[in-house]
Parts: sequence; structure tokens; C-alpha cells
Amino acid sequence: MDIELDPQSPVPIYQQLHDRIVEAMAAGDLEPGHALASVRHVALAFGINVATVGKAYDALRRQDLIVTNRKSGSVIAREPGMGTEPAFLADWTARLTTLLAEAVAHGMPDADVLGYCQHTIDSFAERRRRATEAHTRRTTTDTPSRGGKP
Amino acid sequence: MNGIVLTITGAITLLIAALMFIMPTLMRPTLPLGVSIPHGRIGDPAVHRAIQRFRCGVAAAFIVSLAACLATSGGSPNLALLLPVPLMVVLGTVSYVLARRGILRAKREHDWYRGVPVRLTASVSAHDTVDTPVPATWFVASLLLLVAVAGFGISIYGALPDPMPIHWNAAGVVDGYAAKSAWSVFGAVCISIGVIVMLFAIAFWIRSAPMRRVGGDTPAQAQRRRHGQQHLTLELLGQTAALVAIVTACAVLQGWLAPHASHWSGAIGILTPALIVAVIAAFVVRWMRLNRSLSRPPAGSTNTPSADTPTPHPDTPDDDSHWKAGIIYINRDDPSILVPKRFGIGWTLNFGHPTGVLITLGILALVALLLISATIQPGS
Repeated sequence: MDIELDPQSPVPIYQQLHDRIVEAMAAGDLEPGHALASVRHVALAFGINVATVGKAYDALRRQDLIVTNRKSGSVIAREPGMGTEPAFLADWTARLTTLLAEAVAHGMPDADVLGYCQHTIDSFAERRRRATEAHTRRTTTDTPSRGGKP
Repeated sequence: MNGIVLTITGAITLLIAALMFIMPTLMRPTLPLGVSIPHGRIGDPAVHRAIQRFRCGVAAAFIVSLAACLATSGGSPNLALLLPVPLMVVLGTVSYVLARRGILRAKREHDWYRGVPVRLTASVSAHDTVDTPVPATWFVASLLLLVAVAGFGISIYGALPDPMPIHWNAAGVVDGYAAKSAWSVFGAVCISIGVIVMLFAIAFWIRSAPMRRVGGDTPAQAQRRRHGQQHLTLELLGQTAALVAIVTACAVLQGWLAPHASHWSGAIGILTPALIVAVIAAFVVRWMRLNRSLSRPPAGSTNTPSADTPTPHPDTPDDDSHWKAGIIYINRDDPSILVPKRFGIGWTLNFGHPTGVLITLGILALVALLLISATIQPGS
């Protein structure tokens, strides 16, 4: 599962890594049980500091999105549709309020705000659907996953 | 005798010059002369000019090295033998450092990376990276050949002369003897086995060096490039092991069976460079074929969306600041000890990594030790 980081963005690299992994989970690219590469391995692959990757993994772990154990490393622990924890809900609602307030304060009509929300949620669902489709096609045709699509 | 030595020295110098000359063709187009450029600037006049200058510099370096060789051959033959190759390497490197400045200047003046989106791309999954297999056949066959030679040596040990001839001059005439012992008989085979085992270990080690996506490559292309380049380099390492084994086997067998047959040593003298050139030429051809297959669809035109590339693939960040003079890699943030060379085939050490510095110091100490032991030996 490839992820892109923008070194010129004002958003810190660890935050970008965290955000891209969360988005990949929402889009069904990273399913529960999917093993993430070790902190060192990810740092090697990107050529970035080990501590940066560690920080991103720590944040994901604190939110219970991944679990890490000695045997299987870091593994995706949650999936779309499984329900949320109350602690998460309080924190998320606060951040959502700020984000929506920003749009309203900038003068975006309420309908547009809702439209963007709907569009984003729909695109996650659409990508999840396509990911499952691709997955079933791979397993039914039983072709080796090497090489990818032509 | 002098003529043969000079011819060999000249040939090695020519080989180095030729490799430097074609190197810009072998490198990825977004890294001309080790300068990171966005793929929209491939084919920029400044890039063409710099590469042309570099090639002129390499040609001039070759002529100077050859002239130095001929000029010193009358007075001091040793200098004529030792001077040209390092001179070629140093002068070639100087023309690389000077020529690339043209690209750096154009890049700085016209701000080539302004407004160009750049991304670092890599996988976060544990099982995405498939290791390129080490071509074990080359190494195992090389070791078997040398073990067979050693076995043969043991079977004829009683019939070998004492003292043993251990050194030949360039004309193939014995000019050094040593008392018959396990070392004087099997030393060369043992050293070669050691070298091949080391190459085998290095083959496993270099697979751990990351080969990151290069600018403009799609993730699929990046993976093909990674596997292709790793495969070819590992094959080159395996073929080098085979070359070491074959040359050692021939030389050792000659020393045992026919130490005074100068036509045999002459044949080895021709076989060795012929094999080296064949291995390198095959590698270069396969490398160019890989590059050609990767550059399809052509990336020459700027940002034209084609059917093969449904999403635009951003460039990689400008990482020139980590490469001193485009040769030495210093990046404290990068946890990798080995990285692909900036200009050339193979890997180089990260001097921003403590282990990289340690390995370099170790190699320097080893070289110093060898030099000291080599200068002390003739006197004693």
C-alpha cells in the first residue's frame, strides 16, 4: 500500500503519515489485520527520520487504530462500520466543529458544507467498494499479485 | 615486456574512460550528472551542454593520462604503470564536478523546482516488498570450481616442486619462488574463496539498501526499476565471483602444472581482460535495455497525459543538498547505511550514519595496513 508524503507542505511529515494511513483505512486499502511495515522499515523506504515514523505510529496507537505486539508488529485494528469509542467521539466532535466553523466563517453556504461532507464520505465508500471488487477478482482468478495491472 | 605492461595499463584506462563516457546514458534522465531535476526539464539545453562538456572532459582526461603514461615510460616504468589509472579517475571526477555546475547554475537561476509538486512515495505495508533473489548459482559454482581445484592440488601435492614458483612478470616468466608449504600452494585459492564468500555476503547486504521511487515514475514503474536494477547488479556481482574463480583456477593450475609455459600465461593474460570486458559489456547492454523498457511510454514531452498514465506522477524532492559534489552522501535523517550511487552503478555509504563512517574508517585502515605491509615486505 503506497503512500505519498509532501516534504514541502507546512503539515509535519509525521502528521501526513498518520493522516494518509487513516485515509487508506477509510478507503478500505488498509483492512483490519493488515500488517504495517516496522517503523525502521518505513523510515528506510522514505529516507526519513526513524523518530518521525515512530511519532506517527504512536499517534495511531494512542487512537487504537493500530495495535503493536512483539510477534506480528503493528497491525490495523479497526475498520469502517464497526462503531466508535466515546472518548474518540468527544475529541473528534471538537475537531469537526472547528473544521465546519472554518467553512461557515469563510462564507460557505450550509448546503455546500454538507455537500462536501457527503461527497467525501461517498468517495470513501466508492473506493472501498472498488477495493473489495479488486480483491475478489484477485482471489478468484488466483493470479500471482506480482506486477500489477498492465 | 614493457610494451605488454603499457598496453594493459592503457586498456584499463580506456575501459574506465569508456565507462565514464557512456555513464550519462545509463543514468536516469531526472538525475543528469547527479543533479536532481524535475522531469519537465529533461532535455533542457543546459543539461545537454553539461553532459557534452563532461564527455569532452573525459576524453581530455584519457589523452592526458595516456600522455603521462608514455612520458614517464622512459624514465620510470613503475610510474608509467601506476600513474594512468588513478590519473584517469581523478581527472574524470574533476570534469564531472565541473560539468555538473552548469546544470546547478541553470537550475538555481531559473528556479526549476518552483511550482513543481514533489512527493516521497513508499509502501507502509509489511509484505509489499519482495526481495530480489540473490543469483546463488554464480557464487556456488565459483566456490565449487575453486574447491575442485584445491582438491586436485591436494592429490598432486607430493609431485609439486619445492620451491614453488609464486610470481610471474608481465612476460609470463617466473620471477618469484617460495618454499613449498600449504600457503604457497593453496594461498591464492584461499584468498579467492574468501573474496567470493565476501561478494556473496555483500549480495545479501545490498538488497537491504532501499531503491526509492525516482521522479516521474509510477509506483509500478518504480517497482520494476527497483527489481530490474537490483537483479542486474546482483548478477554482475555473481559474474564477478565467477570471473575471480576462473582466473584464479587458470593461474593456479598453470603454476602447478606448467609454471614455465609462457604461452599459457599469455593466454591467461588475454582471457582475463576479455572476460572483464565481456561481463561489463553484457551488463551495460542489459542495463540500457531495462532503461528503454522503463521509459515506455516516452517521457520526453512535458506532462502530456497519455492513456498509460491515468494519474500524473509527481517528481521526487530535490535532494542535491545531501550530496556533496554529487558524490558523497551525508543525510543524518536517512536510517539507510547504503544508498544507490548518485552517478555510477552500485551503492555508496551514507556518511551521515555512524555505521557508514565506521565502515569507511575500517576500509581506510585496511588499505593503509595493506600498503604498509606491501612496502615493508620487499625490504625484509
